[in-house]
Amino acid sequence: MSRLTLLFLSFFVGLLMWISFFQAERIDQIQKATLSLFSPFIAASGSISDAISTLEVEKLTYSEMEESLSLLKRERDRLRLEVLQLDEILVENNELRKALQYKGRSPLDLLPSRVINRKPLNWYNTLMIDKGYDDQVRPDLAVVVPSGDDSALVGKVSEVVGPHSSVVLLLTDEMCQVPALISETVEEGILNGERAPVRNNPILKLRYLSKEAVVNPGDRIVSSGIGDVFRKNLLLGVVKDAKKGVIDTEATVIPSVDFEKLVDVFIIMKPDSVAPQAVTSHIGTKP
Amino acid sequence: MIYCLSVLGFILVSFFIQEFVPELVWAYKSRLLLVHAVFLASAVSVPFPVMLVFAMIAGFIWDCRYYIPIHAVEGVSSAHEIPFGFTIFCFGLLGMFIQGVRPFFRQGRWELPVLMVGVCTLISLLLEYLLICFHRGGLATSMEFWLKILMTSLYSTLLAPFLLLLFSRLAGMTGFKIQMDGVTRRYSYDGDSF
Repeated sequence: MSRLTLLFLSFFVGLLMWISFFQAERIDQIQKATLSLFSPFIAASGSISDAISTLEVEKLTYSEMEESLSLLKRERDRLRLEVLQLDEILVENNELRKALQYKGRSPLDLLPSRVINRKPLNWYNTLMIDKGYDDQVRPDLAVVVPSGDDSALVGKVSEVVGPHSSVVLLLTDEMCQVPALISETVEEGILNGERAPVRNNPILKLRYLSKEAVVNPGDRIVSSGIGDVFRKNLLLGVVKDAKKGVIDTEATVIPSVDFEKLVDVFIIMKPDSVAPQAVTSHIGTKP
Repeated sequence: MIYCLSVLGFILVSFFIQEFVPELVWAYKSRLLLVHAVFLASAVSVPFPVMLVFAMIAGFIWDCRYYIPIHAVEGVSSAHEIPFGFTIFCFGLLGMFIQGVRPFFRQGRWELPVLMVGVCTLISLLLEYLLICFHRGGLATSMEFWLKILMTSLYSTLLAPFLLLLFSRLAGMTGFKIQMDGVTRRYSYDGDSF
């Protein structure tokens, strides 16, 4: 081995050791700077993916488009009426609350956000959204989408990486553990996903149910609200099957969200991090 | 020097192109790791000290871009699952492996270097996954997982000949000598010496 090779090798090892002793804050700063450099490319790749997926959408004929438009207009009118009614109910509700001096839970403060990248990391089920620290987003905020009359959980903000970008850890990742319960039997457990993202439609596992738990296929799984991250009654999925172990029961759950088709998501802002442009909404919340 | 700087430029550009490489959902969510392929192909064409410099730069940028800490439990970051600097170590180690087949490349034989690009990509992914498993406990693997890793390595292997060709041409253009003039014996048979 030549002297030059040895010198470079020693320098390499020394530098590697120095880097490995970097403080978390320093790494955070470096990563944020790098991500801001990459952000135009990340956004561009997301736009290209969206454009490609738009091409796959079935083309409609003129008459079909007209029909679709009239349907949408009718739906819009219906929703307008519904909003008017809801506004009246809200006013009435607020008056009653005031009269009773009731300090109930505030409605959800939702911050609408758009998915800008679906594949930021290799070994984690994550996606990147277009809201960051400028929008007062911070780690551990729950991310949801409307699903029928419910709010379905997508995951949680794992890391805010830029002024307009954050990484969301999806419900389908093993690291995203949600205290959950079976809404039919109120049996509690912990729901989590799989270790490495390999399947198109991942399956979730509801673990630590009691051995005597009654779990039937089709049972709805919702968040139990234990802990500060996920509020109660967020829809998680539906039971596929269950097996009894020696000390507990484990259920297989089909997620209620199609994670491959996510475009718009909502971040549930907490009272101390409500952004000015946050949309106060009642959609998808249960009383 | 010009060759080495050009290759470094290719490595840096590959980071930006990597952003546009799609994840193949039908192929177990595998995708081409362009940066790995470019680094490994370049590592076989440059001397050892230059390879170490490439490993340092490429590994550092990769870690900055892709090892974003994952907050699993509220307020607790699990960034240490894959420590910052791991890719530098990984690239350095794999670069050393691939330097072992450099004589073949210099002789104009590309079979083993091409294969090694794929094998080294596989080792790098496996090391990352083993590290995650070590942290979380339990070695959970499935057929789909192995197929994902194998598919990713396959893409690198398929791309490797084109990258090696590109680097050979680039070396020719910049006057960098990769190819040996010919395999010469240090001690040739001389009948008279017996």
